[in-house]
Amino acid sequence: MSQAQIDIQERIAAARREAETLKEKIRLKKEQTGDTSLRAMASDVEPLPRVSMRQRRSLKGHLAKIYAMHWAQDKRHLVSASQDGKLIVWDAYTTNKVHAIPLRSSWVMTCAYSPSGNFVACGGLDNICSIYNLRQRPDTNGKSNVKELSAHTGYLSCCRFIDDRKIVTSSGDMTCMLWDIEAGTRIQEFSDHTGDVMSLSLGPHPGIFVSGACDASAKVWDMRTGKAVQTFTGHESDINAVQFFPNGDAFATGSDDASCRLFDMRADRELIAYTHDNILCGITSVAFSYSGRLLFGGYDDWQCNVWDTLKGERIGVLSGHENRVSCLGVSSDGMALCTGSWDSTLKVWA
Amino acid sequence: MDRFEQLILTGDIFGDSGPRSPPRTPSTLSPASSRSPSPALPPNPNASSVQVGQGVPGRTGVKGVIRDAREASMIERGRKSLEAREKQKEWEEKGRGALSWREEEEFRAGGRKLVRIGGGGEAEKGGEGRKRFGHLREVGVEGFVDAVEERDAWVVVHIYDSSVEACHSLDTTLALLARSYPYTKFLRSRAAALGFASLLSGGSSQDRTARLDDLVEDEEWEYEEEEDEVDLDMLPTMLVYKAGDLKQNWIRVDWDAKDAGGVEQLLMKHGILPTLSGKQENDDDLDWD
Repeated sequence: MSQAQIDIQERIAAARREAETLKEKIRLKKEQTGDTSLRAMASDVEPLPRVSMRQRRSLKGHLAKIYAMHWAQDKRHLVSASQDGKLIVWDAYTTNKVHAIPLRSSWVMTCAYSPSGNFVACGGLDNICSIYNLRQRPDTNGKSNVKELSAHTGYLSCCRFIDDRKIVTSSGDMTCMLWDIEAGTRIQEFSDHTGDVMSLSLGPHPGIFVSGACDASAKVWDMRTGKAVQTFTGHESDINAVQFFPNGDAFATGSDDASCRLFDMRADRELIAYTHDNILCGITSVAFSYSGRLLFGGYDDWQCNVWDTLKGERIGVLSGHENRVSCLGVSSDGMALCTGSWDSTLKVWA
Repeated sequence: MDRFEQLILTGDIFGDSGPRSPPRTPSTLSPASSRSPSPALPPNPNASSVQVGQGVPGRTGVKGVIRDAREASMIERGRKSLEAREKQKEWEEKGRGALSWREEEEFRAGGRKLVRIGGGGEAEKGGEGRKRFGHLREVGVEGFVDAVEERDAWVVVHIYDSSVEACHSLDTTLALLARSYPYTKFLRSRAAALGFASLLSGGSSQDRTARLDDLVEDEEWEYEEEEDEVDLDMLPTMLVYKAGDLKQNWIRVDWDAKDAGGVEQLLMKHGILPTLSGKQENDDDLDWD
């Protein structure tokens, strides 16, 4: 090795040491500000009354396992994506199917409803985010009602509409992207994760979103600059799902390490971990109740556990779905929870 | 699509009433589909075929889709190889038609009834009671072990890749040798299918999701990456088996063949092919390393 190379190696080692000491310093400083824990603070909060949720509706129509679902903002409609290659828009009150959209690829991982209710989007192993206009039928003269956003080099794990014009997507190629739907182009690319990005969530605060990835970290991004403004570590394995807390200052994550954690953005740290010795399988979907007091977790063994967010205790299990929950979502007014199942039905609970 | 079906699917059968769902676009499974999905996706499970991942733990969420897709492509591959095997059997059963030169010679030499039956599979008992082959056969990873376990005959396997020029000429040579030496079994197999001399490619998300499988204990299956990158510098390679044991391993057999003056000479020198006098080495204590 030449002298120059040895020199560079030494400089790298020195820089690494410096980085470690700085990290340690930051960690100590953080520890100092930690005067209590969420569990301690919540100890004098009243325990929850018994949560009784009953199945109110059963949405039948898919022919295979439900992979994903998303409520519309009107609290009435929802979209579901299934292995049978269909995207179905349901009216949850009447259980009618409003739209049935055939997909090119049945390996769909995510679906989303736009806040206006005009569009639905989906994506999966085809690396493409397909956007369907619900108010427009495909014309006979060729103008279709589908827009395909193609630029990711990995599978599309999650997509969420900001409005009718912009959508954020996360992908297995370790990046997230912000798109202009009309133009079909990327506005911004977010790359900082070192593992497949599995999920993202938009919160009430505009301009930021949070993503969770297989590198066991969750990052908060600034949409304008494209930078990761905060990074949260603490999970021991891949993060599969993230969801903002209703007030937008915190978010929950579900991971393969069998725990859900609550991270606070202002405290810049993990507040509490929802875990139990009996629970050994990973979590693939999380959703908060309207108040944020309840956290619903969809687990890899098809169960749904309900957690008390403040006290960190498991309140119960969603029974009645016979351990078949594959995905879940809470409506925006908190009135209903919808769970998708591997037996091709969706159930609405209230 | 017939008129009645069309009326139902578009809702027109009920007359004009209320908002309708968009009319069905033609099935993507039809050959007329304008766009093939990219990247190469496993086939969509249609309603009639078996559904994947119902109730198997570990199949929720994004990773669930990946695992289901993998299972679907395994099933598809199994089905395709079964079909291919059946087609091959059918083809053999239909008879091979013309006799090889050797077989005609024997017939002319007389005294022996020609044992040429269409339904004989890949080998027939010749008069001496030895198994006859006669063709350079293709073998895949599943049939490999069975194919090389021949009790009496020598089995010569050519590991190739279609991009290597030397493999093409070697194939031609081996095909001729197979006709000339019907008591020796000649096989060829794609290096990528066997996972022979595969280069480990790191970092792609496909590889990483392959590692995720390790987390799910219930479903351990050997998933062979069909498109492993193969070190082409190692090809052509020839392996020679006797009674299931590997006797010779020639990496870059084209170099050894050049030295020996031809593949046939090389095989003769090592006693794999019978020399002109008809003798063939069956002795194990002659080690030609």
